Amino acid sequence: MVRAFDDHKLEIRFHDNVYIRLVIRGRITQIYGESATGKSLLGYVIKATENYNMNNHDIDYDVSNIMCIDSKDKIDAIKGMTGGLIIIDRADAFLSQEDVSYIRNDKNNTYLIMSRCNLDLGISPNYYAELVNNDGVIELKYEYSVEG
Amino acid sequence: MINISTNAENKELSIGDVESFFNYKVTASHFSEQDIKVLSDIDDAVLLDKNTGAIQTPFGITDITHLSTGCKTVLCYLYLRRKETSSIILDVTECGYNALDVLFECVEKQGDSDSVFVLRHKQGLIKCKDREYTINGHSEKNLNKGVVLYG
Repeated sequence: MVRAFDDHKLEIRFHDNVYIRLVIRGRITQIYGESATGKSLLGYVIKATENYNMNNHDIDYDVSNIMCIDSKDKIDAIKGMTGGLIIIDRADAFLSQEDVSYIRNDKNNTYLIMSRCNLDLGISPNYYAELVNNDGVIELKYEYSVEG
Repeated sequence: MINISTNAENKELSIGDVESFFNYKVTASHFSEQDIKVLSDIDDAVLLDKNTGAIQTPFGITDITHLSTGCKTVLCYLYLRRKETSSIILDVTECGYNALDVLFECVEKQGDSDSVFVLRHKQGLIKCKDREYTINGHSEKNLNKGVVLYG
């Protein structure tokens, strides 16, 4: 079994149509950009892979260190996570200032946060990215790469 | 003229949560040609079956509940228009600029100058095609040429 998320890389192939390969720069990355680039698809693929594993289908990926959050009622679950990747979809819709403060101070996990608003996450522009489809591979395209 | 508000405070939104509303209320069976064009323009999706809501997307065959939130938002707007909802107030913050462009084209086609769209990421408008807006009560145009917006 292969860990889908390991050492700042998320790589997962889902059936024949979806190949996600993300190089995650920092502890918190905010993903914005156009609609329909695959932001929600990413969460769906993780959940679907998790369900396959639970149902004892052929196991390719271990996604046990990845958590997907897409609604307010699930956000408290991040407090029980350590050393994993937390993907928060639709953050504009439900993330509170208290949640943002927790994420800023959480040094134990890596976050991918889908939001088009400025959430005050305390990250430099180097950690803002868009999802792009490069010849069938969904990747992160960072807006800036400026050394500090 | 497209009416934009950058703040949802003191506004009674027509839809609280677009994802939930779409998944529970909107079905493909009543989709018009305009709805089908929206699927194509934003998600590059093709409606395969009006009865089941099956769609072909670049990532495979699925159903309309797996459309992007931006696409769902535009379809919710068209749904509300069909229901003749008066004074639509819709939070479009979850729309990317491509979905905003399609939404505003629909608004213009409908001749709808009453609806208000809550947009908390103002930068999204700068990438949209040139059109006239009222933003927080101020008339604005040429936003795609980089004009500072009222906060």
